[in-house]
Amino acid sequence: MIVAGALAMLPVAGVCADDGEKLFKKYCWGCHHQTAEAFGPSFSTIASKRTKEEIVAQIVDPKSTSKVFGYKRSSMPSFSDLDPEELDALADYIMKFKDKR
Amino acid sequence: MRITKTLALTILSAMVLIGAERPKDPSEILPKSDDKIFVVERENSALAVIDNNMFTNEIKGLHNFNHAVVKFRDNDGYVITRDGYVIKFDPIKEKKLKEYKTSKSAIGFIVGDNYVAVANYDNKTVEILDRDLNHIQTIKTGSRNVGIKEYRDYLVFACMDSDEIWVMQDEHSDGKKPWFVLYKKIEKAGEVPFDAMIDKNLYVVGFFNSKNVGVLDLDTMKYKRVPLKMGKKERILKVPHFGFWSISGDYFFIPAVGNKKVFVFDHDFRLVKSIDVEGNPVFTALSPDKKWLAVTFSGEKFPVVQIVDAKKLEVVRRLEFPGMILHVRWSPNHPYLYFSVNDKDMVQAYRVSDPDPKKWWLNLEWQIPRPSGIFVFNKKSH
Repeated sequence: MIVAGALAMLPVAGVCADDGEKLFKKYCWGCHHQTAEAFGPSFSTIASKRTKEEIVAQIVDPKSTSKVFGYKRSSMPSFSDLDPEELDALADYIMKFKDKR
Repeated sequence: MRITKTLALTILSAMVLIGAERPKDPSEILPKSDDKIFVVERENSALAVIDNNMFTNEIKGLHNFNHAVVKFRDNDGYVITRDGYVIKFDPIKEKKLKEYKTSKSAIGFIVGDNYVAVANYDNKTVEILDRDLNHIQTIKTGSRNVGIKEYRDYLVFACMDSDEIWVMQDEHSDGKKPWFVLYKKIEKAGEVPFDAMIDKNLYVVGFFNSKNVGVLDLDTMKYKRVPLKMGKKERILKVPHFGFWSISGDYFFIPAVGNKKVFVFDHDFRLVKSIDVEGNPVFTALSPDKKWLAVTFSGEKFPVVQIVDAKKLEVVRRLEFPGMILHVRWSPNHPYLYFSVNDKDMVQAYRVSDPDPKKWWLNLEWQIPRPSGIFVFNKKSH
């Protein structure tokens, strides 16, 4: 017995079409949370400490920026393959969490 | 009883097909089950309850449920949340009993006979509570803490930021209230420990930035690093999980970090094989009969699960789902393998009774919003 295979899905409440959120779910959410410390720092922590430009630099070249920022070590991989629009959308999304706890 | 729209429609269809004269109760149609399944609704602060193969209830108001983890001990249920709460609930009455905020971000916990120990990311502590969530002790480590396990009167965990393994001993092991003191600290264990598994006396820890696993013998307190033959590290979009479920009678199965491989070691930690898999693995979940290993992936391969023959050590089945698989769970009682298809709002159950995995088939499906972790409470054994 297959229960329910062919039926249409119910609409999903609260799904945001925002590109930044989509990119977050594609690339970031395995390690970062918006407001809570996880494997990586929360977006609220990042947004409170960094400018948008610094955030873009960290996404593209974390090895270099982590030295500039004075981190002891960095586990973050580079996302240099993201295009400028994607980086802009993602950085905007991260900045939204400034001062949110 | 809550019946999903899908299920109700299916039952109506079934009635038409079999020419039933009266509406059938779903419980007459669905296979009976001793599994009471609790599914984390990742975005809803809720636990969905699937009882006797029906989605019957939701326990709500459980805080931030991103990465929530559930455990059972006796007739008690416990859950930790991303925002640092530990919550006790009654899995039989499906009711929240009590909550305690241990930190701003919790990552793992264990439930001992007379305590609950919560490993926290943010505020860099391990908190000890009694089984009713009264606070007993705060262990300050100065690091995010992962891979928390128990062995005899030891509490063992790894410190992600300081690369240490701490073994704490309960100095009140005869009494009711535990009190843990540092018994052994392994320094420079490896770079960025992220999770651990335990098999009897062997505590096995994985590292994000070191090409080895660490093995601590908790009887002798001897520690060794076991090298992993890794290829070029690929970009990692989700940190893998270790788990007790990937230890068979013969082997340890260890997901590679940033490589499309599952490593297989014998119990002396000699490499037996590295199995090539389709993506970067997240979960390696062993079936209760230890015959099959379900491997999930991250990134582009989130919708794929591969089944490995745990004796022949080769991939024997590939399953592809309509959305991202965030968790899998083998039923402890029945021939079912459960999957959370997160972005399609469904949990699916494959029937896995056939000895040939190619003949396993999609049997049941429940519409559950944004599901992630699947946890089974065994009604029979409780």
